[in-house]
Amino acid sequence: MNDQKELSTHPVQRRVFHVAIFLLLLIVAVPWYWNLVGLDPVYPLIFGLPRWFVIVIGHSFIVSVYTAWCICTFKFNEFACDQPDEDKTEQEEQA
Amino acid sequence: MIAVIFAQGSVLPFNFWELLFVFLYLSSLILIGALGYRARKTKSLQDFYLAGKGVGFMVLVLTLYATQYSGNTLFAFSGKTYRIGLPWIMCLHFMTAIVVCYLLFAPRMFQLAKKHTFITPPDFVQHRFENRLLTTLVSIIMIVAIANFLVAQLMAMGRALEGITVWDPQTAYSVGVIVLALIVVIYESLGGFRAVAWTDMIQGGVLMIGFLLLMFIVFEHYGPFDKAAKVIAERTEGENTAAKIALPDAQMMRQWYSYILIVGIGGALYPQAIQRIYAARTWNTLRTSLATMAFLPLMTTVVVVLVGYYAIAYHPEIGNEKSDTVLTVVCSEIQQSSLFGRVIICILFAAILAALMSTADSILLAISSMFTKNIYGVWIRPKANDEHLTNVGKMFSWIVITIAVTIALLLYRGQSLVQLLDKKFDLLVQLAPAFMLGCQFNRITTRAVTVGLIMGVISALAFGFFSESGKPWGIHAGLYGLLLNLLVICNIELLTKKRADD
Repeated sequence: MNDQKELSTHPVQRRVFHVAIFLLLLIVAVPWYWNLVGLDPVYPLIFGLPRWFVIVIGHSFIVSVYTAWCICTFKFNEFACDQPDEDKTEQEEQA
Repeated sequence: MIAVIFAQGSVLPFNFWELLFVFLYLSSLILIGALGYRARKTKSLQDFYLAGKGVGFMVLVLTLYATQYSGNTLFAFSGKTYRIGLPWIMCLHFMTAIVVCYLLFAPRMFQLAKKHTFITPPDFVQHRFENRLLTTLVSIIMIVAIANFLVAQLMAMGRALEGITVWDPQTAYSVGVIVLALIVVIYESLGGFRAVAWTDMIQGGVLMIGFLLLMFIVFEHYGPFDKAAKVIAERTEGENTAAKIALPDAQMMRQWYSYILIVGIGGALYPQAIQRIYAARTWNTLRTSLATMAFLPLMTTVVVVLVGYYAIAYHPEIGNEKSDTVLTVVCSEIQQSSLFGRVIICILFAAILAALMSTADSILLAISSMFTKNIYGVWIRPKANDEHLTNVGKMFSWIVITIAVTIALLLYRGQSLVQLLDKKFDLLVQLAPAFMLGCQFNRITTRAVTVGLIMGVISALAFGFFSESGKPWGIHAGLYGLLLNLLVICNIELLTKKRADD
């Protein structure tokens, strides 16, 4: 195994937090809870579309926003190894 | 599935100017291939398969987009909505899940790829597990998993030409398969990844415009969704139609979860997509591209589901058997309505060709690179230099495309072989432990991953073949295989740890 250090040290808490949020989003992705709370399977319509359908799209939008946020806030210095050279060069150029 | 669409549909034959537009579009792809050839810097494998130091944001995001969204997205998704109704919005979830799954390995893999100059996905496996047999096994599984997809794209290209010309159908199909495959292999072997990424950029742009135009013209043509909902609710011939807009039943919800997992994990492990992670010029480029990709399912899959929704309301005559022709029927109606409609459909047709060709070229490049680097360069000519390997890769692309074209021509009316081979996600998800766990956990061993992979593949295929639908109890066969795969890995790791403690 090469580069043992490279494959470790992303802060565990942060990782567990993200995994927990994504699991939660996965659980509520499918509207299985709809009947449990006694909502109508079609009506009322929102913009001509069933309410559950609109909520699924809204949920997916939240997943997209959270995913994009996770990607954008990801930092390479949370890893043990160095940033790729090209990134360093780019940051140096920006500085 | 997508291969039957154009032949069964009824798009009007294109006139001279429309055919000229398609011809100019296709010619521009070869020109881009030539430009890619001129832009090459060295004769190295990295330059040919990853465009040297990589590509920037615009190219990366559009090539990722064009690669992830194939002809399937347009035809099969609208057809499936027509068959099962609005619950097919699950496709929005599983296409988003692909980007979520990238989070598990893309940043780390990108980092390692830049440091150790990976070219193919199995290069990571070799680096991480240092075992040539496992690397070869991973290469073979990846090649087999995506090869049928190439044949399916070629068949759809043939059907596309068949649908827009007045030639004899079989002649048009054959010409479509051969000419379009030839264009793909020419620009691919001229400019390698650079040409593929540049053409993907155009194709991704055309595809994106195509989706937006589709939404616009369909809405313009059929009117607001309220009207469609009313038509569906008032239809007297059965509860079945109304059920298509109702909340899905328990079986469908189980399938929904199954789709999210299998396509999310399997789609993220497409070798052509992993190569694009390697090809990002910087981490910032990759980060911005993936963040953008997280939103693209919203403007893509929602559009095709809504087309299916309109078809449920206004085209009950299509029937479930011909449901994959939904988009063609809708296009035909719009095409006949006005001159503007004809122009829009012509652009949409270019977008469809773009979707097919961009997927085909990426698969071809991925197959040729894995064969050259991880099979030929390891087992046949281990001491070969980069220039020799690059030439072998180009030659192999021609061999692969020749075989794929032959199969596509032989399967003119039948699709049984494609259906038989259509196990790509069932196979690809078995690689998740090697890539995703391999990135996250230091302790996972080569032996555990290898045995788990073999057991996973065998059980996924067995579950698939012994179940009629390929989904025992509504769950994809590949997920049973993955479960066994993970159990085997855990058992071996625990046994190894226990022995070490003793």
